[in-house]
Amino acid sequence: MTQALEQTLELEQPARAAPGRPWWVAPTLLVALAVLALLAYAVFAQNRTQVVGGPAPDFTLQTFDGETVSLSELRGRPVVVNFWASWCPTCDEEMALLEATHQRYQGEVVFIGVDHVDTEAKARAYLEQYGITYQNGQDLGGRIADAFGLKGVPETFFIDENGTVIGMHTSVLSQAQLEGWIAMLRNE
Amino acid sequence: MKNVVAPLRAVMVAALFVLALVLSPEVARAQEPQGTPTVNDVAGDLYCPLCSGLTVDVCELEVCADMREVIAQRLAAGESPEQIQAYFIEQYGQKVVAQPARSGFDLLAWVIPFAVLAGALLMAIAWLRSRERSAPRPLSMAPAAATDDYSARLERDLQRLDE
Repeated sequence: MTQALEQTLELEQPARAAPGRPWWVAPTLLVALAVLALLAYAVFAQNRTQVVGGPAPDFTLQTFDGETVSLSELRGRPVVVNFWASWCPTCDEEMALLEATHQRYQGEVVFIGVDHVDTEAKARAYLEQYGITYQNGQDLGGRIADAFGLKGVPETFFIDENGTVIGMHTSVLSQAQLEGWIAMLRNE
Repeated sequence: MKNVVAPLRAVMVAALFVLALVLSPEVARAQEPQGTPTVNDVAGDLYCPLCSGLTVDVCELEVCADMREVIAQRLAAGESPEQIQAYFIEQYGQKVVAQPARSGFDLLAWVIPFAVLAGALLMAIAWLRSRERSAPRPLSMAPAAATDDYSARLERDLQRLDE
């Protein structure tokens, strides 16, 4: 009897919709994941520019003398890459030292100056003022600075004969510091 | 159907409003009187390559003063603001115009906002439609035959209970 009533009542109950997630959850999650992926990529790209200990990013520099110098062509010789700018208030403190050290180790260690965010006329005048003779050129589009993960100027990178960045120095170099790096590059 | 059309219209109006906001600076710029550009006109469209958010016309860094000097020289040589802007992009990169490049990975920065806007619009439309589908239907008079059938069935069940 009771069973019959239950059957009757079951017949009368309307069919309920199956419970599930609201329809908008999937697209919202998808958008959130895409944003997270982009953020992760940005962080990864930023960390990727920590070059010390790894291979030096190759670059080609158009020098103020109209020559072209490629880092890859210098493989087999130690290279000192110095980033500077004419507006930099402290860069001039190491210019004379860099030039003197370049003169001293000419043929053994290559010095390259990379002019960062500067105007050509000011940069040329600056090089002339300090009597710089090693190769220098403008970092067009900031590509070399981006590749090396430059934090500011002056900043100097030391690359051994195998093309590995063995170290970097932020701010002005002292003579003792530069000599120390040169000794490491020459395996002394 | 009428109660769905009004919200749909509201969504469309909102989308058009957002689109108008996005395009209004370009439209306003197009309506500016075309005179001889000054150093500050050009410098005002360029951003300092070393600091964030400051335009070259107001930035006090030496590099920005040098940039203003270069702008003056190039304007005097007859170059257009667009040519000068292109020169500085080549010198310092895309950051001087505070706009991502319209190629490569940076293209995503142009595409994503519009894709999200389109997606939000589609979601709003889908939400309105689903709401319309799940809304309770207006009550109507049940057909007499169905009511009779139900009454007869109820009567039968009650009799069975009594037995």
